[in-house]
Amino acid sequence: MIRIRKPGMSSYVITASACLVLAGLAAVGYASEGGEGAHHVDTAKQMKDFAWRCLDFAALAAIAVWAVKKANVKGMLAERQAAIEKMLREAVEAREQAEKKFREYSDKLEKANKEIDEISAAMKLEGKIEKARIIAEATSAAEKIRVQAQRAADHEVLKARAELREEAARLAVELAEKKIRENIEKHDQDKLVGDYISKVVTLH
Amino acid sequence: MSTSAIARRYAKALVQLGAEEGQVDKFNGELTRINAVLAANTELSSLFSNPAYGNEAKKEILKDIIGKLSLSALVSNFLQLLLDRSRLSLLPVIAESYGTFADDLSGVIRPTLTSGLPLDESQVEAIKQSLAVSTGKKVLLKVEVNPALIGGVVTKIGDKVFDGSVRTQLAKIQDILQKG
Repeated sequence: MIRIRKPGMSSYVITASACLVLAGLAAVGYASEGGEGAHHVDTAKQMKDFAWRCLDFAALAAIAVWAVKKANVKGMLAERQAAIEKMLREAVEAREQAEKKFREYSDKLEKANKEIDEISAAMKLEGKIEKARIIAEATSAAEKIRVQAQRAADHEVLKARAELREEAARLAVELAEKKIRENIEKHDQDKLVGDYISKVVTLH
Repeated sequence: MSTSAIARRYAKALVQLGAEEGQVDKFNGELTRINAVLAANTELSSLFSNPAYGNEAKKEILKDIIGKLSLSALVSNFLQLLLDRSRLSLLPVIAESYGTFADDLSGVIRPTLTSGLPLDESQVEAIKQSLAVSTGKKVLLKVEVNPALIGGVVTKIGDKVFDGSVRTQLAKIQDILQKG
C-alpha cells in the first residue's frame, strides 16, 4: 500500500514566522525613510540609513537562511522524493503483484475450465454408461416379463387342457355308466363274478 | 390305558382259557348271547352300571341271568370278575374282540361281500371257495347288495378290499382319460 508522508506542522509555523519578521523589518525601514523628508542630502544620515539597510538586509537574509534551514526544505524534498520513489516502487510492485495474481487467476481459470471440460466429458461418458446400463436392465426385465407371461400362458393352456380332458372324461364315464345301467343283464353280472373269482383265486 | 385295550386283554385271556379247554367257539356263543341280552334290555345294563345298587344285589341278578342262559362255569366266573371290577360295561367290546381272537385262533375270516346285482347261491358259494383258497382260512361271508356298484362284486376282509365292481372300473377309466 502506498503511503504519502505530509510535511510537519512546525515547518509551516517557522516559514510563517520568518515572513512576519521580514515584513516588520521592511515596515521599520520605510518608517525611517518617511520621517526624514526630502530636505537635503546628508551623507552621514545616508550612511546610517545604508547601514541600517544593510543590517536589515543581513537580518533578513539570516532569518531567511535560518528559516529555510529550520524548515528543512531539502530534507522535505528529499523525503518527498523518497516517498514518491517508494510510491513508484510500490506501484510497480503492486502492478507486478497484480500481474502475478492475474496470471495466477488466469491459470486457475484455465485449470478450472479444463476441469469443467473433464467433468463434463466424464459426466457425458457416465451418462452414456448409465444409459446403456438402464437399457440393458430394461431389456432384461422385459425379457423376464416375456418369459413369465409365456409361462403363465403355457400354464393356462395346460390347465385349460386338463380341465377339458377332465370334463370330457367325466362326461364319457357318465355316459358309459348310464349305458351300462340301462343294458347290464344277468349274464354280464355272471361274467363279472366269474372274472372276479378267477382273479381272487390267483391273488394268493 | 384305553377301554378298547383293556377289553382286548380280557378277551385275549378268555380266548386262551377257551383254547386250553377246547371250548373257544362255545365261549364265543355264550358271550354273544349274554351280550345280546344286555343290549336288548337297557334297564338291565343301567342297573349294572348304577352305583346306587349294591354289588351283592348285582351279583344275584347276574347269577339269575347266567342260570337262565345256562352259561359255562368259566364264562360265569369271567362275568362275575367283570362285575367285581366294574368292567361289565365293556362286555360288548370284549365280545367283539373275543370273536376276532377266536376267529384268528380257529382260522376263520368273516368278509363282507357286496354286489351290484343280487347273486345266486352258487355264485356266493364259488366266491366263498375262492376266498378260502386265496386266504387259506375258513370263510364266513356276509352278503350285501349295493346298486351303486352297478355290477360286479367287492369283498372286504378286515382292512383289505378285493374290488371287482363296474363302479371302480369306470373310476379307473376316468382316471386314465384324465391323465391322457
